Amino acid sequence: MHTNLLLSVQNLSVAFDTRHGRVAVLDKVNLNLHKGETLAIVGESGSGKSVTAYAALGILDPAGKITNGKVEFEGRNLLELSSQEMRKLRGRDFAMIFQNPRTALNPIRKVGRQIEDVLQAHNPGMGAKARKEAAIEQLASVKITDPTRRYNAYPYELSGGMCQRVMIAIALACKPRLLIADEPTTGLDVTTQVVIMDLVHELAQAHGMATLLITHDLGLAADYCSRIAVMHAGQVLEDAPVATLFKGARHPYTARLMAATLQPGITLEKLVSIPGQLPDLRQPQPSCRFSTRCERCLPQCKEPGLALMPYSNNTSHLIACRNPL
Amino acid sequence: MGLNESLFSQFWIYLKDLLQGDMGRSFTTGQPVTQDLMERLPASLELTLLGLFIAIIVGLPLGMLAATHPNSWIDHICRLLTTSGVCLPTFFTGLVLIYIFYYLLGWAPAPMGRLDLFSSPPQDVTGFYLIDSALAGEWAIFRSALAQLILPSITLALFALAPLARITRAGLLGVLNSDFIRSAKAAGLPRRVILVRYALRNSLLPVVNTMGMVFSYLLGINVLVEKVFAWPGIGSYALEALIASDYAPVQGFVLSIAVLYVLLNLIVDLLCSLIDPRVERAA
Repeated sequence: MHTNLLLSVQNLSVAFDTRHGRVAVLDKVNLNLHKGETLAIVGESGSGKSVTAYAALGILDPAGKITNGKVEFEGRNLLELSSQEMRKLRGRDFAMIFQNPRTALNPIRKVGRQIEDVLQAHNPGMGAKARKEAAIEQLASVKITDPTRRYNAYPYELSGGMCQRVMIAIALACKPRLLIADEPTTGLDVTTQVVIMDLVHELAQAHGMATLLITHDLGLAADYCSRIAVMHAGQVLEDAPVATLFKGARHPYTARLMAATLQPGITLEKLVSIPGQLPDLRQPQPSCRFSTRCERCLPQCKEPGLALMPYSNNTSHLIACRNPL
Repeated sequence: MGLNESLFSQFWIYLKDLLQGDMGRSFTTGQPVTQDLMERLPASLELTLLGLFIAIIVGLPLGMLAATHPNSWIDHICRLLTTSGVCLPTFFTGLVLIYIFYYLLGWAPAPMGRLDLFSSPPQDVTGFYLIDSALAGEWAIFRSALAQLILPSITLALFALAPLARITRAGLLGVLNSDFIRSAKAAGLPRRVILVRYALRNSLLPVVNTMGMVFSYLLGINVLVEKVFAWPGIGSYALEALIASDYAPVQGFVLSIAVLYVLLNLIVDLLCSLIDPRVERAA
């Protein structure tokens, strides 16, 4: 199993220096992603999903500091690499697509040229003609019709869905082994969302590429991923295969999240919202950051030493809770 | 000139003359205003363009460095220069520069026009002494013209530098925080490519617009700077005419500045559509 490990995030903690002092955004995040696997990170806005991905890729805002932990990609600790070495890995070994594809593309550069920029960055020896052909081929591979003409299009001339296809074409230009999709369907209409997700899924299968999907949509995660990690306020609370999670979520937060998710046969009135808000991370936090919102909170929940552990000896179902369901 | 006619007829005569390129005659020089202006315009343009050029080659890199190294010493220098550039009136900076570099240190020549007393102007091709003397290969004249130009153009540059550096810094800082820079980083593009091809070009639009604005400010500021440095340009010509209540040159000056201003804005708009394809589409 371990030889298959592609990305391993171990006890990753990230803090941001703000004018209100240091904010501990991530608290000992643990994630494992195997080759060809699809993992979703699910959580509310501000739960640290994107920050985890940015920290792993080394594109964290300068205000953010990694205070603890390790990020291993095929056994190499990424946090020990120089920024130059990291740059060479980004885009070639792992790539990322973002939400709001319209603003995520350079507005005044032809989309074909933007694909070429990535090809040039990672294949310095490639000739101009070969690069252009590869860029057009790349546009065709994300099912953009008439790629030769679209090569000359600017992002503002394309629809949101088209822009996301271009983003995918850029991300996959160098055939990475890991694709991180950060809310790739936010800002797209529902029918386009499905098409884009199907495209990502299909391309990932075709290239044997692992996918890390960051989303707040539990339903989307269930449809496209084999495993789900639930995050809350910078902590991973539960990590399990989709079927296990939907059959028997053990963490009170996961259960709450599911009760708040729209499913067939459930009317809007039956949806239950999760009480309270994400805790204010500027204040010192108890060991379990969900404890203040949790109806199953015990006195020992506030004590330090909470860790992600296998639930009843099932190594594929991890949970960080002292009073699970 | 029809001074005995009604105001309307006078204006009609003025317009008719103007269409034929006649802006009237100056009382003080006794020459047609058009001829006076054409003789002096190259001197003003040479000074203004050099001032703008210095401001650009200093201001843009300064703003860029300040944006890529926020709160570093270079950012503080940028802030100091831009603040003082905005606060100090140009005739004052001009006088201070003359006091230090001519009177105290003796490095600069006397502020007495475009050439020192012992040089004669190069053969007239463009009217720009630097270009004409270089074309004629008269390097002694070139050196003299350059020496005379340095102080007044630095005076203008100090003034023009402030908005340029500030807008460059602000624009670049905004662009560097945008989504597409993040995606460019995630795609592993080299830092230089991100900075120049992605960030700088996107922040150039406000900079070019500011450049046009600054250039038109400089045309106005010129009036004072030319007076301080006894520069034989259209600014000092207009000022002298104003003091002598010689109205034709003043009219001519205002009109030619307005035309220059319009031409300049046209050039700026054309440049903008070159930089940003969206501008062309909107027009």
